[in-house]
Amino acid sequence: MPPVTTLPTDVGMIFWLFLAIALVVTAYFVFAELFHWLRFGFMYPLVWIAIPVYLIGIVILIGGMLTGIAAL
Amino acid sequence: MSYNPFQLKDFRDGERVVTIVRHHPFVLFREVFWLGILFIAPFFLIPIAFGISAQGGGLPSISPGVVIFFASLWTLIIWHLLFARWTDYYYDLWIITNWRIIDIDQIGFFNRNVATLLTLDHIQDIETHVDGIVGTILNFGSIKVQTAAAKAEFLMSEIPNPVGIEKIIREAQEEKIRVFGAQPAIHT
Repeated sequence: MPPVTTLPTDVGMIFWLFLAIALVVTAYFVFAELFHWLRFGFMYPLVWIAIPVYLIGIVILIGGMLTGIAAL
Repeated sequence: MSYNPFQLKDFRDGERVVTIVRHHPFVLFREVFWLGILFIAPFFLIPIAFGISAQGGGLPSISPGVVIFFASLWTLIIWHLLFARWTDYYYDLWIITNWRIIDIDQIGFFNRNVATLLTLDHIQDIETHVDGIVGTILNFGSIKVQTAAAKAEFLMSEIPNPVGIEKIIREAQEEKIRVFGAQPAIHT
């Protein structure tokens, strides 16, 4: 019986897999947070500060992950 | 038509928002503190684990790329949890109007409960509690309101200045009688 799959020969593939999972989780959180913040923003003014801080943080951290992969 | 800043349902003429009550900021601080512990833990534990597992020959070298990648990944997870906790804290509140007390309860992301707890003339007794060293120093505690309504009592927990909030509820009760009269409340 042939093997169902094989381990990736390039260990860097593992990091891309982690990155993909992180992006899916991030998409869920961003959707959930923005959904609430935009929907009820009229009664919670601090969300207008939280939105850019949160999104900039995400961009920086995903950028950090890509930098890490590039530096492998 | 009364000014309805929170777009509350069944907002009546003459009704006004007296105050908004949130949990004390210490509640948020306590959760952020534990997230902070969670955040820094791997930065200490992993080097220690490597140090123990390295047998005599010093620490094994790790590519800076791996360190940057996992540090960013871990920080990203904590970042999401931090804002989730903040949203939970910030969206959880009580609105006291001169007619009623409304509880807005945010539980997780997609579970939001908005309920009129009682109209103010249903209040029979208000108890305030300030417990523990931290509560006493930072002046936060809970308010328990005994009511004549179907739900016998409700609790506002870990709120700042409970004695001051009790006074505000009492004043709102007097205002209700002035504005709306002393007729029994009709739930709509």
